[in-house]
Amino acid sequence: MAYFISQSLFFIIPLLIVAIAGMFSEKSGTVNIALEGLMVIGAFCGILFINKMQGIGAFANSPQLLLIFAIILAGMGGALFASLLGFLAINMKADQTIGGTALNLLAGSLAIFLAKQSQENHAVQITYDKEVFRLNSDFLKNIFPNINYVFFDMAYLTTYIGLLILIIATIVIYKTRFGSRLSACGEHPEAVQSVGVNVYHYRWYGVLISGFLGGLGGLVYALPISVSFEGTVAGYGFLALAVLIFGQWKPLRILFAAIFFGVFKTLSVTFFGIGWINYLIIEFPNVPFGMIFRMLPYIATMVVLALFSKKSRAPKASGKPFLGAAR
Amino acid sequence: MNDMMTKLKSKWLRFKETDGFHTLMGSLFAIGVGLLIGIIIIILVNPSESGEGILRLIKGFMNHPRGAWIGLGQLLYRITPLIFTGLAVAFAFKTGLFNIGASGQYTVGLFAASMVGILGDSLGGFQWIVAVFAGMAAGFIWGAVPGIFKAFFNVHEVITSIMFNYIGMYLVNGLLNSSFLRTRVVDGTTNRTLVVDQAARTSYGPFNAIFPNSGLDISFLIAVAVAVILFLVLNKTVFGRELKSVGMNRDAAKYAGVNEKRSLILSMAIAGMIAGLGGALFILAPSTRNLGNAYAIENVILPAGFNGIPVALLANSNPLGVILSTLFIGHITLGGASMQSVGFVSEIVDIIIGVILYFSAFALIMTQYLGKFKDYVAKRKKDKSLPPSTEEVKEGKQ
Repeated sequence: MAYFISQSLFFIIPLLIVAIAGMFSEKSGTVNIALEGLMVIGAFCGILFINKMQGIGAFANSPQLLLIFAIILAGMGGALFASLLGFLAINMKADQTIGGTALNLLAGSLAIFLAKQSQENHAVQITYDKEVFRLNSDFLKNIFPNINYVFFDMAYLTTYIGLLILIIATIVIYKTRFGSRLSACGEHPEAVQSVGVNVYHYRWYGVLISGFLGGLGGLVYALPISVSFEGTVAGYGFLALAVLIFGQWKPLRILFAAIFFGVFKTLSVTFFGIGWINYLIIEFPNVPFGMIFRMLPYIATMVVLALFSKKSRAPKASGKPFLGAAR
Repeated sequence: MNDMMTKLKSKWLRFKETDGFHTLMGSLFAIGVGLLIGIIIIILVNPSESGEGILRLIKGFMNHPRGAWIGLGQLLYRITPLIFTGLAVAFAFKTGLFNIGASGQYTVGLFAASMVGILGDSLGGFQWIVAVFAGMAAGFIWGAVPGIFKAFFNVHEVITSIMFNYIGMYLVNGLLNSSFLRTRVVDGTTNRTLVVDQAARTSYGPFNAIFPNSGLDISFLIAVAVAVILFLVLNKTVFGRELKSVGMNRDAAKYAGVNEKRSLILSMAIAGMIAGLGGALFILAPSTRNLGNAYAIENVILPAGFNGIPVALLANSNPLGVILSTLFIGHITLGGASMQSVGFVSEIVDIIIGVILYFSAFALIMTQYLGKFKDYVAKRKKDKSLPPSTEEVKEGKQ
């Protein structure tokens, strides 16, 4: 069970962060279909930095500091890349779907191109040592060994960063003037404009925050699951988009959606290690359990969506360019 | 003679005012910027080989070792699946839906066709046509699902499409790994499906004579025919107008007497059917070049569907434009492959395509701005020569 939870966090936390990234952009009125690309760019920047630093032996004694720098760099890379979307969607008032698709294409090819150019043997893979980043702590080990295993031994700092982002995002969206103005820009920009607030500025904030969190989420996703990065995040940005819609553009619902999806996704890769399921597999050899469990996260999501989507709460003006003063 | 010239000129002038012209100009502008950035990258990466690299990029299909003509055949062969997925995305776009699920539809179509192609020996001469229809039917069903979820449960088609990409891929792989199919249709050593029966293959048609050994078969002609049919359906039929009206305003279409749920589902289903047809024709191709006739059982979503999105967008979702944009993307992709032998990574081409798509997004806006600017200049000239009319004065006051 502890192993299961610890594994599921590797799915849940990046989905949570990236879906919240999408939320900031869409709440301010810009549809962000480029989440996949933002993740790729963020993961690329962060992991290349880690690769180079580990290569020259910097930060050898303080891996967590290295991770924090890499995370900041990943976020900044994402924000910089997202500014391409911001310029296109907000200033040029262009089609956001086309822009987002273009960025996804660019991100993947740019990451591979730069990886090949920046490494001696023209390799696509950027390798890194992730073991140093594991918290590996003995905190609470004697009293609650399971909690220690999940949250302190096997965990990464990124888990806490994800939860912190959730808390801050919830407070910002619901409890601050900035948050309500941001949301208003995605609902009724003309009204925002009429009280003298600059809609363009707020939409830019939304896109840049989205880029920062998207890039950061890319690194959080890529780091613990592998030992090398190959210029792709395997469709996770699109899944985060689905989680965002599933979560109805609300932080806490996004958390629920990410957990829901993440748990089923973890089940689909660990089911054969779980006692009672193993018993079923032996008992009914003709039932294709592998296929069922792999399809389950997606089917379960569709069932839940079918039941609860009658009233969708998408930001009303999301995807529509703001053309200026009320007409 | 003079008559014809004036006629042509007036036609040209009228064409210049159409949206189609603006789109074309916008696309050409975007392509120019994309190529320029690509050339700059090539020069920066390796100045000494850059001349050869740029030449190879521009030459595209003409780099083929057996000459430009065979290269052209190979280009058409390579782009055919992309035309289908591009059309699947473009058709849905025209009816106001974002079909991001072409990959899933393509995969199930490919699977259904290959099952008929391997197991349907008893069908004899009908085997290939049944296989094609099986692929279309599978794609139709897979496309209909996001439509149904949107029409009845108000679930956005993007999320359903993404989910059904995964469900389709896992379903197909799971079925192929089942005890029944594994022994009959899978080559255990390569973990790929078997190549379909000879009777299930599509025909080379005239192409083996025209482009010897290029691999091109009649699928390309079918793709062009589908593009023409979709163009006509969208622009010349009541049915097409209905589908488009639902895309523009669902409630208004409903009010005007269109069965909006049915239209929505049909739009997606038809899009899925086209992607499924693409998958079917891909797996049934008579040439085994590029391991075309086998499906590798890997837990990876086929990129063919996603690649259809930029193709459709670059063409502004015009079915006939899709053929042109696919030709262009196929051309520079072949150029990129050829560039590798002089030391340039082929991803430069993907960067170029990304840049082109990025600029095409606001090239449309730019041409509109340019149009407005011209109007403004013309108006200024007019204003100087003539006193403002009363209407203009009124407008100015508002």
